[in-house]
This record gives sequence, structure tokens and C-alpha cells, in this order.
Amino acid sequence: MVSSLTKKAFRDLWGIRLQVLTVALVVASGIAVLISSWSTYDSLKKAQSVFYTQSRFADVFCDFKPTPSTIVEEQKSISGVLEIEGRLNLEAMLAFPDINEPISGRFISFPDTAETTLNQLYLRNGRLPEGVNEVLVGENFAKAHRLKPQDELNVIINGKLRHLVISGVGTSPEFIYVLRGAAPMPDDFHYGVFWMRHSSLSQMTGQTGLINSLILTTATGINPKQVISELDENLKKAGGLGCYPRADQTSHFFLSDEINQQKVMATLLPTIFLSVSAFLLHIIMGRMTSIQRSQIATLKACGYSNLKITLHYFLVAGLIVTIGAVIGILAGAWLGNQMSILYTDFFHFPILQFTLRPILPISGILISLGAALIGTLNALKSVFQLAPAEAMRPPSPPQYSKGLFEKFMILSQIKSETRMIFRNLALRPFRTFLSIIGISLSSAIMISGTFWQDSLEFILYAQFQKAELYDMMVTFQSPQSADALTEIESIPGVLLAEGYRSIPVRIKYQNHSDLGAVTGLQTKNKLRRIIDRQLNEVVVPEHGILLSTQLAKKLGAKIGDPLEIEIMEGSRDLLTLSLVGLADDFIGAGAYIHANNIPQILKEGPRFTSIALKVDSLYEDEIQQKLRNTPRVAGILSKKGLLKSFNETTAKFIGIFSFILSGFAFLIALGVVYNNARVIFSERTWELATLRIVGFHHLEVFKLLFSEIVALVFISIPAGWALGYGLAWLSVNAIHTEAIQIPLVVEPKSYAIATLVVLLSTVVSAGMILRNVYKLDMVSALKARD
Amino acid sequence: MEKKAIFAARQLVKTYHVGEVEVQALRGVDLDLYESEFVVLLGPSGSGKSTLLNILGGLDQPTSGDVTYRDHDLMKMTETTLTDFRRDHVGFIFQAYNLIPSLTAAENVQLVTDIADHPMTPIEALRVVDMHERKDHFPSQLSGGEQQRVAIARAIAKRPDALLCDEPTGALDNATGRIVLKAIEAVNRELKTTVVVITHNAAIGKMADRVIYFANGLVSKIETNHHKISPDEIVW
Repeated sequence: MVSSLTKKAFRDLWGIRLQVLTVALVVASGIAVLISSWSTYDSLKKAQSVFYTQSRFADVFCDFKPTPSTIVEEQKSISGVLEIEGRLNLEAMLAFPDINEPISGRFISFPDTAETTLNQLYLRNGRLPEGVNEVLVGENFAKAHRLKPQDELNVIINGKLRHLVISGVGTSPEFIYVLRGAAPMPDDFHYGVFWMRHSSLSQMTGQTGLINSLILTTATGINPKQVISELDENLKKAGGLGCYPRADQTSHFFLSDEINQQKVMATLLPTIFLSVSAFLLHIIMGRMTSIQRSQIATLKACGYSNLKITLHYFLVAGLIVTIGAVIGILAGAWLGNQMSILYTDFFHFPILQFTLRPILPISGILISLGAALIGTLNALKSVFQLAPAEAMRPPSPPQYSKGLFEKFMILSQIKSETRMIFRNLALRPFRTFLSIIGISLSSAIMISGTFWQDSLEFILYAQFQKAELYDMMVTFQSPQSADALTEIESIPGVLLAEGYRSIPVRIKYQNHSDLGAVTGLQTKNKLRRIIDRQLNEVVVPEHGILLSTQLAKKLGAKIGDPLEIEIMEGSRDLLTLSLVGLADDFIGAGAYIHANNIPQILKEGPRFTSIALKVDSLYEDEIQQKLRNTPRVAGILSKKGLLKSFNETTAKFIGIFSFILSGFAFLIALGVVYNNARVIFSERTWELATLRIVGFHHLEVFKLLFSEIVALVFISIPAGWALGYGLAWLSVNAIHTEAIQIPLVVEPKSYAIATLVVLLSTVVSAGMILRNVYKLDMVSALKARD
Repeated sequence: MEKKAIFAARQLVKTYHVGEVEVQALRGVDLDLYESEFVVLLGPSGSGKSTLLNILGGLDQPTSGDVTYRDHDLMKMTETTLTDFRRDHVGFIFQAYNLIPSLTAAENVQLVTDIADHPMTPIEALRVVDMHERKDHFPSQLSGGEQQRVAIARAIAKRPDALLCDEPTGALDNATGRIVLKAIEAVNRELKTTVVVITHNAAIGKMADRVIYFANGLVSKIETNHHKISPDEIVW
């Protein structure tokens, strides 16, 4: 038989069901966020490591000039090299009959015969290429263009159109995150990865018997760095561009960054949610026991022990947590699964299985339960200290005083109502403080979600409105003479053309080194500038070298330090340049020297590896058409296309993320605001009844009651802005991306949205409380003074 | 000169439903209360005194019958007009004082003067009950009798036509009760406010112009005092 105390627990809960529901929803949010963010992190991490292992992802990558493939054999003797494979790896333009925007792709060869290779391809559908004209298309690109096996693909190689047939769609661990050159984000519509059998690709590009890339795995326990230095030495004669470990491989680097971000979120958000739910459970249980103090006294008078009574309230708290936990686990599992699907779509992992470790829901429940039990114990302690007879009497009135507030106000000018608000807030400063923190946290959560958009928009603005002022950037397969610039300048519609020379280099300082490129820029550049975080142009000095702050940090170099620059092409000279300046920019880890110094360094005439164009938009299509058919053009980047693509992918992703966060933020705000209002209402029912009796209308009483909440909300709004800014700062700093320096930018729009969410929850709470005020029975409220 | 009735009740019936039980609190009460008179309602618990007081004060509505305040039919009033009626015309005193703990004595009175039409100043009201010197004290700093006197000041500050008191001395010792009664008597005498006091203490009836006895939801007897005594003379 159910004991009457258990029945009481259920009925008590039913009596405050709206409060129970709002608190349970906050508990649920905490558990849901904990489960979904950690399980997404776990799933991503697992998908990454499983895919890397299964597809035998290489440990070291080398690029060099096309060289006879016998060079592969020569490297096998290097100690520590386990497996090694040579391949062709090049960029080419694609032509789609109905698309004018420039589209390019990276073409990679894989062995003709061998069954087991490194960076094994994962087939999504179709089969691996067999025939001469067959190609496997990367999944991201296939999806963006709705390509399927048997579709035709037109490639422009050396200015000539080649027809290929798609044999299948797939992916490789090397291209989970597909980035083109220095572009800050994926652009699956304009850039794809393609795989062909080695014989087919070498034949098509006229490089039979040649390779220009090596991938290899190292034996366990071998530091890739040792292997790399030997490889670099060996590959010098092949015009080696430098070998790099997996850690510096673009896809791996960005993917790991992304997974790391997920981990930061998984730590930060659930902590906030669970603390707020702990606070709410604490106040709701505290309030319930103090409302029921005469009941507790009666139970004690009847002979119930303190332990029995405590267990009874534990049951009540446990039930609230259980309701929250059930909703939270279901919602968390669902959300985690959805996020995994979203990430699968974003990264195209072959297998991204949603994994849920049981420790997650268990720890979520334990934290919530712990908070509820501590809240209950604290409240019960004060009741247990009283003799039953004393506890049956209503508690003596609380000791109010004229707080600090009023010392600074002209008393006669404030209405009694206003004074009540301030004094009530000051009476329980700790609760007031926690309520403010609770409401502020909900805005803060909102801001911490929406500011990403602001920061990214700022980067885009800085990068594309201030730094890169061109409309198109043309890159070449190899350096071009000044004629190429003249030729492009003469294309109708080209308003301005500016050529740049980039040199592949390894920059060394003491025992740090970095593989990259040095770009030559003029003192005054029209289409491509280096800017600092204040968006001011950084002038390239006439002598010495200028580095991105990020890169200098990586090398451990300061201004004035001598840097060793190893030129990875031509003469392969080794020169020393003094670090003369830092560019505090957002994207990439660039190195710059004055363009005038390049001919001297390379011992050659002026040549260009890329040309930036400002064009008349009316001629854009024709210009692109013309460039596509120009031999040696490796790729054309259209700024317009890149931005469009960003808005369709990354921006959408952040949008979904913010939407989910605003849902949770609303629940938190509602939980804190409504429960506060409800507690105030129940604590002062008779006060409100008194006001009704002396002639206050329903709305006047409501106004008085709710003004206190409104005061809390209004204090919380700026506090929430500050907390949100702090949380955004924490997010930016906790996430270490070397690729992009995320600037902390929070636009008024983000503050406004956060404020709106809090106000909306306040309005909803107001509606719920107004109902209570209308239901208030004056006479019985006065008779039952507790 | 004929006395003018401010409250008139005819065949007043009030039935409560407590769970599934029907309780007849008033079974057909006929009663007139006149301007500036001091009335004491006596009777055992559950005889209907408080129910009548609540109906007269606009806190509750009868099940049937008629009740008027001057020319106004309280039966026809809406929630809003009843609230206005309480705001402008009646003051209440309860056994439990019901002061707002977060407001000082003066501020508790001000709560009413802020919304009333032609109120006294809070100090004037407190002076009537001799509490003006403790105007800045919070309820928690006042004794029970003092709190009740502040409650009286709050009730009379709006210059009500009637002061309705439900067991005003119920929670007080004799000496303090006497002080409170003096304050109520002073209101009646000085402001000519009609005062209705519910009590269990028959001795208090000697202060009144009329004593109305209640039993089983009906008026059982009305006595008129030709010689009112002062609170000091009451033997408890």
C-alpha cells in the first residue's frame, strides 16, 4: 500500500505543477545539453579515429616538382618509414555547361593495381575508377552539384577540354574538410576533390611516369620530424616543397579544431545549465518546506522522525529531477543524434555513429539530484531546529530595514510600492543575487551562441571589404612572366590587374620551423592588402620580412630576430631575413616581403603566381570563360561565389546552433523568472490579499508583485550582456584555432536577441502569475496566514 | 432627526460549498447600520458575523437577498466597482493586523493614501491612533497593539464611511486591547465613522450604541445601549 506520505508527495507536486514543469524543463535542458554536446564530441572523435585507422591515413605528406616515380623506392630505406606511396596531385579547372562561375578541383592519383593503399578511398556509391576516363568525385562536391555515377565531367587541362565519366562518389581521410588554398572556409560548390587511377591521370596531364607527391606512414614510436628532415634532404633535387606531418595537414587540422570547439562547448554549456537548475531546485525545495512548516510540525507531533520527513522531501525533489531527467535524456539523445547527422552532412564522414556513454546521463542526474537534496536539507534544517509547537505558528515577520538603496534616494519622492520592491530585493540579497545570475545566464547563453555570426561576419568584412579588394583571384600552375599580366589586363572588362609572386619556403627560427609561402607585395597595393585588427593597412617594409602575429608566435620569434628562410624552389637558397614587423591579421599565417626584393632573391625577372582582378560586373562571365580556357590557369576564385557558398553552409550551421541555444535560453529564463514570481507570490499571498482589501485592483496588485520581477529582469539584462560578452570571450579563447584568429565581436543585434528572449519569458511568466492574482481569494488568504 | 442607514441588508443568504458539504453561513439576515454609530456584533463561532462583515465590506457576495450601501446595490457591483467601493468607502481591521512587513508604519498608511481620493496625510492618520511618533518603525519593530493601531490608521486614512473590524483585539492582551479599542472609539467619535466590531468578548458591547447578537446565521437579538462606557471602564 502506498503510504500517505508518498501520496502527499505526489499531491504536493501536482499542486505546484507549473513550477515543477518549469524547473524540470531547466533540469532537462541541462541534461540534454550535457548529453548532446558530449555525445556529439564523442561521436566526432570516434568517427575521426575510426576513419583514420580504417583508411590508413598517412602520417607524412610531401609535395615536389613532377619527378620520375623511381624516387619512391629511394625513400623506402629511410629508417622509420613504414609504407610509402607516390602520386600526382594537381589542380585543374572544370567546365559545367550551365555554370559560369569558376569551378576548380584537386585531382589526385591512386595506384593502378595495388589493393591496399594509404589514404584509402571510401566509396559512397558507384565503384572505383577503372578505365582511362573514369573519375571518382569527392562527396561534398558531388552533393553540391548533384553528381552521380555515369555523369559526365569536363576538365580543362592545359587549356584543353577533357571529358571524364564519373564512376563513383567517395571520400578520403585527407579531404574530410575540403579547403582551397588560403580560403578561410569550405566552398563545396566551387571547389572539389577528384581521384583517378595513376595511369589515367598521368596520361591525361601528359606526365607519364612522373609523380609530384608522396604520402607515407611511419613506424610506431617514430617521430615524423626525424623522417621529414631526411625526406626533405632527399627531395631537394626534385624541387621539394617541404614535407609536413599529419598535424599540419589542412583537413586534419581544421577537423581537429572543430572537434576541439565541440569539446569546449560540451564543457561550458552544461555547466551553466546544471548550475541554474541546481539553483532553481534549491529555491523551489526551500520554498516548499517553508510553506509547509506547520505541516512538518504536525508530522513531527504525530511521531514522524526527522529522517522520515527528510526522505519524504527527498522523494519530492527526486520526482522533479526524474521528470527532468526523462525529458532531458530523450531530448539529449535526439538532439545529439540530430547534431551528428548535421555534422555528417557538414564533414561527410563515411560513418558517424551516434554514441552515448551512460556516464553522461548518470552524471547529469546526480548533479541535479545533489542540488535538489542539498536545497531540501538546508530548508529542512531550519524547520527541524524548532519545537513542533513553535513550528506550527506562522514565522515571525522578516526584519526589513531601509537598505543602501534608499540612502541615495529622495525618500519623499518614491511611492510606497517602489520602496516595497527595493526592500524585498534587499531582504534576501543572496536569492536576489542568484536570480539575477540565473536570468543573466540565459542572455549570456544566447549571446555566446549568436556572437559567432557577428565575429564571422566581421572577419568576412575585414577580409573581403578591407584586405582583399579584388573580384577574382587567378592562380597559376607555375610562375608566369609579366606577359601573363599584360594578357589578362587586356581582357575586356578587366578594370585592374595586380600580380603577386609567392615563393614556397620553410621559415626557421631556432628550433622551430614552419612550411608555407612568402608573398611579395608592393608598398601600396590596390587589390590585396595586409590589415591589422583595427583594420588599418600594414605596410610591407622595404627590407626584412613581415609575419602574421600567429606565425611569429608559432616560431617564437620577436621583432628584430633573424629568421632563416629556406627557398623551396629554383636555386633553393638559404637566406637570413630580419623580422621587421608583425601583421595582427585574422586569417592564415602569412609571411610577406617587399616585391622589389624578389627578383634578387630568386635571381629571375618579375614573375607572378597569382593575379588579382577588379572587373566590370557586366563582363564577369566572359572574363571567367576566357580565363578558364587560358593554359596554366590552375584556379579562379570568385569572391562573390565564396560568400554565397558561406551563407549556404557555415552561416546556416551557426543559425541552427543559435536557434537551439535560444530555445534553451528561453527555458532557463522562464524557469528563473516564473519560479521567482511564484515564490514571491506564495510568500506574500496575504500581503497581496491585504492590498486587494484596502482597495487595490487586480492589475495594481499584479503590478506591485511583478514590478519586483521586472526590477530583477532589468538588473539582469545588462548583467547578462556583460556575462554574455565574458562567455563569448571565454569561447574565443578556449578555442585555439591556428587557422583563424576569431575576433571577439558582439553586435547590438546579438544583445537585442538575448534581451528579447528574456523579455519574452518574462511576459509568459507575467501571464501565468496574473492568472494566480485573479484567482486569489482575499478572505481565505487572510485567514490562512501561512 | 431620523438616522440615515448607510448599510441595509434584506433577507441576506450566504451558502458556502466546502468540498461536498453545503454550509449556510447566513440564513436570511435583515439589518440596517446607521451613520456614525458604533455597533458590536456578538455571537459564537460560525454564527455568520464575519460573513456579514465581508459582504458589507465588498469582500464577498451573498447567495441571495439584497444589500445596499447608501444608494448603491452591492449585489449589482462588478469585481472592479467592488474594489473601488473598498478603496473609497470602507476600512478593514483584522485580528492579524496584516501590515506589509517591508513598509514602515507611515508607509503602510501611505499605501492607502496613494490611491484614495481625499485622504488624510499618513501622519494625521497615525496621530488619531497616537502612533505618529513611531512612524518610521517597521512592523517587526512594533508590538502587536502598536501594529494593530497602525492597521487602524491605515484603514481610516482614506476617511471611510465605515470601519469594519473583525476581532481587532483577538490577538492582544487586555491592556493592549484597551488601547486599540480607545483608538477605534476615537475614530468613531472624532471622525463620525460608522464602526462595526466583531468580538467574542461581550464586555466590549458596552462601548457600543447597539449590540447585535448572531446565532445560526441569523440576527437573534439587538440591544441598544443608552449609556455607552469608555474602553477604560470595561471589565474584561
